[in-house]
Amino acid sequence: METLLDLIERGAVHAGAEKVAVRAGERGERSLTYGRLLEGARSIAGRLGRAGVGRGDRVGVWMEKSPATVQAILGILYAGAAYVPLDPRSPWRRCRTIAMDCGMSSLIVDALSLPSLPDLLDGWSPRLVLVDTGSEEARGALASQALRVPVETLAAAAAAAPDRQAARPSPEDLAYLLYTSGSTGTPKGVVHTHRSGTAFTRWVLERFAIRSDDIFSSHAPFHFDLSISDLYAALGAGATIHLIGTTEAMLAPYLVRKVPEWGITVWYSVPSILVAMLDRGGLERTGFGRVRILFFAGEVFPTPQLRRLRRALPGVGLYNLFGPTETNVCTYYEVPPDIPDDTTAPIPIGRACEHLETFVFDEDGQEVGEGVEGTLWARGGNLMQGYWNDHERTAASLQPDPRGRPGLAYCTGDHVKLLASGDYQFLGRRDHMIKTRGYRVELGEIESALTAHPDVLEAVVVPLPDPQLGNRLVASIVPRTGRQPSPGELRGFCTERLPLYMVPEQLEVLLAFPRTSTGKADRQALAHSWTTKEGV
Amino acid sequence: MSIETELQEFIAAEVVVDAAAEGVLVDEPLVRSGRVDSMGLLQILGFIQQHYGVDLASTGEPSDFETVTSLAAAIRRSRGEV
Repeated sequence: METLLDLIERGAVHAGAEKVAVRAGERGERSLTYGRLLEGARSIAGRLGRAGVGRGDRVGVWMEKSPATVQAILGILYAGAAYVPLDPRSPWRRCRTIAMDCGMSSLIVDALSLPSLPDLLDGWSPRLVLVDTGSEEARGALASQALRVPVETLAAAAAAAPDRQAARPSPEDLAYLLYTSGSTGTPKGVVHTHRSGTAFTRWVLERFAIRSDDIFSSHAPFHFDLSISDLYAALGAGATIHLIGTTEAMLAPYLVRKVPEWGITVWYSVPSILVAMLDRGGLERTGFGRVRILFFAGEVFPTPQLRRLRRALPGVGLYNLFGPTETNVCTYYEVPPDIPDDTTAPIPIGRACEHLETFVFDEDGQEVGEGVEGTLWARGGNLMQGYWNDHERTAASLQPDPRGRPGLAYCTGDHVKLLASGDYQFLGRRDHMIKTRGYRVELGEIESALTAHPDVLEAVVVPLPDPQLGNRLVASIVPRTGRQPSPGELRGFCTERLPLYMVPEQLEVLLAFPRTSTGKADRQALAHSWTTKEGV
Repeated sequence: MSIETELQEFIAAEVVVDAAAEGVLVDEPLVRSGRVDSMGLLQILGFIQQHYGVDLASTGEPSDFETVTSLAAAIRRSRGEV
């Protein structure tokens, strides 16, 4: 067994010290070579180690994406600790909640976080805070803050002598904690070890034959699990990562212009931004440069838009990667060379990744086969170790294999059905299954019916609790550019395709959906907006 | 009213979720501060297109979207005023 660092070091040998490992900026002007990236990371590890950070400790990273952020992450891994990436745009209170939850021992931040530091550190004393100051001005601002904890610049730590005595992590040590929003409103920390991170990365490297001349996009923020493939598959192959910043990531036409210029060959993102690139970016006219592999994950890709993408990029391998943060990817599906015009159902989520095992159990606790609905389970190397500091939730998710075999398996909570092709069809999340008028309804099915309308780009169906009906269904849609379908027309369209109890009672047409920090449509915000409007 | 003031008023009234009493400052980082999200950015782009006839969505660079000042400069540049 190996660690993520073993994997990266092998990639670095392959790449050579002078090759650019990671870069950012409109022209890729901010960059670090493999040599400088790893040398600086070992120095940061040395500084963390001298502050008492070691194996099993958790170190926060509250930074915008930059080459220095990647170096900081690797520095934490070299110190034997686990990194906890924090959304750079989230308020300091949320960072503090997470810091308290995981018992964060140290923190690395950038200049943007400086104004929040006094609040964040009030009553909390991490062993060390490293600040990527960037400018003279920010260094001055840092110096003027009278903080009661040891604070130093990241640049000084990255230039210090590395600690040769530092204990390297073992495969069973924690590598990263990814906090996802829990249904209760409190973020939950999904714990992954080097073993699970490496198992997933090796699968990406081998299954997709990643090469050292590849250039990976890094579109997802680091607190989103899509970043694991971007970072470690790229560095493990000795390839280059091009980091896409927060504002850049939102500008679809800009990305369509820049992806060919940056020479990206492997793209990975949520479907939303790809839909925006098709609709507002002119991707169908321009193509996607040298991209040879395109992964998407995190949301259902509306089939009519995926058909446009498929036809716009005929030679590109399109893959639907599926899985929660707890397993990273557990199934995958290669989009066929064409999606016929009359297909409106979402594409399958495919079959188990080669190094994993998946199976389906129905509500009665029976394993089921082809054509029968049930809940998807996964087991194998990718599985999380558990939820941080939440044994109850961990025990409910990671259970003894229900087939009676030794070892643990993860219940994904996703409803699926095995097709004759051997692929799974995703039927919805257990928590998106609701009851209305006595019927069990999967919201995704209604959303698929709505996105089949030629004027609709995206759709989200929201259930509003109702004492008589169980739930009333309402829907928000975003039209394609220049189209303005009326709510009445859309209801009529649904009536022709769905039973009446599944037709949304009300529809609203929006310019765009609110997005979560990971770029997905923000269902909670839409539900809140409907509830406020309805005065529920 | 200057472009900067118009943008400030629009963003404070229609876009930012936490409209503080002091409104939006001309040099305040909009996206990086978390006050403007992807939907807010689209609202701003729509406003700029409607009021100034400038399609920043297609021609803008990320640095144009950093602050009210940079947005106003991009609008003037696109209209050939600079």
